[in-house]
Amino acid sequence: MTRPLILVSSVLLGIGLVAPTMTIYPKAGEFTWLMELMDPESMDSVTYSIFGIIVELAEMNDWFMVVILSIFSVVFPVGKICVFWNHSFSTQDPKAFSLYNGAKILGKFSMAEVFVLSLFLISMKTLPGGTFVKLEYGCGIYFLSVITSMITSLLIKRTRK
Amino acid sequence: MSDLSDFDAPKKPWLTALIPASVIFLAAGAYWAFTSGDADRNRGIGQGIPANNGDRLIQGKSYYLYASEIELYPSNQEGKSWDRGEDGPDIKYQIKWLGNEIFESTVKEDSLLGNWSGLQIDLKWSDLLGKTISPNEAIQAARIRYEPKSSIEIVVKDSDLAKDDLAGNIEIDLKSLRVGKNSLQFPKDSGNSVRSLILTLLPIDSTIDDLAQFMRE
Repeated sequence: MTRPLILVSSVLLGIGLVAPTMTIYPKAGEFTWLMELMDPESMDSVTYSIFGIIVELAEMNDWFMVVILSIFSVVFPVGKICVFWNHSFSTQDPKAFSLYNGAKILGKFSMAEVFVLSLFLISMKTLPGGTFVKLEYGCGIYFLSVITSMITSLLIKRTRK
Repeated sequence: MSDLSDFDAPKKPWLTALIPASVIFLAAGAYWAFTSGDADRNRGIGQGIPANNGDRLIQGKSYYLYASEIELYPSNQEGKSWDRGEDGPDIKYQIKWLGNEIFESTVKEDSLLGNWSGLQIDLKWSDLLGKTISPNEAIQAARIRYEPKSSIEIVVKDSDLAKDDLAGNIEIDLKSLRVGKNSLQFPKDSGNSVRSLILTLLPIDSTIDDLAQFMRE
């Protein structure tokens, strides 16, 4: 049960990273119609995936945010799943157990991406002019990946008892 | 639940740990390959010409009408230069419908080729304190209603301080016009110095997206 769950979590994480996470609908208050006439391209809605946001930040040379988002949204979740997979083959190995505990600690940090995303959404929602953000299905897939990863962790913990 | 054991532990555990990483990479790649085709198709639809461009006018329906381009011949109706010296004409036009002047354009100074976008906002410094502008105020065009037997008159002039000089008085049957841009050519004679005219017609009930698409073309 554990290994198939890890594989499901891996597939969900892979899709969740590249599937649309959010769409930004730009508005300019009462001048929205005018902006749509004069500069329609700047008023087009834009859809981002988590990977797309990282690429966009890299194009803006915001390397600090690129590193932060890459670590919390990609490296930690992928690393955690790899450690769980490794641990599923050697449940009694002390070395593997310490890695598993390490992954659990890192896993808590990897939840930070939800926090970062929430902050980003709140900041966008309070922008003037009525600009709003709509969450897409990629966000749900990514969230499911986090949930299956947490269930996997519980199953491994129960096996060790 | 207890399907985990050390019995089937691999010899090189870190090598097998790459399996989920590979699955993540493959899932991401497969999803991207599967959906990138849809994105291209959607992009193609988005950049298309609006469906009603080039359509016939509908009886009883109202339209915005403006000249997006007027070109004059290099000399006036008398075969003389437009202004004293080497200055070009200061072009402006009026639209008459049912015998009434319903629109007058701004003046394009010293040019044989005048362009109008159909969109203009005149802002004063005091407007920066707060001004509400509706689309109706910003769209610089005549408003007409289409009836098959009706016509419009485009009066093109060289604007002067003392007296405007007539460049051409062109009567056009509304039946001959289509939604979007209508390009018309005219020969030079003693009563006409207008070489060409592009008339743009937009349905008044168009969405903002459609208006933006028409005006971009």
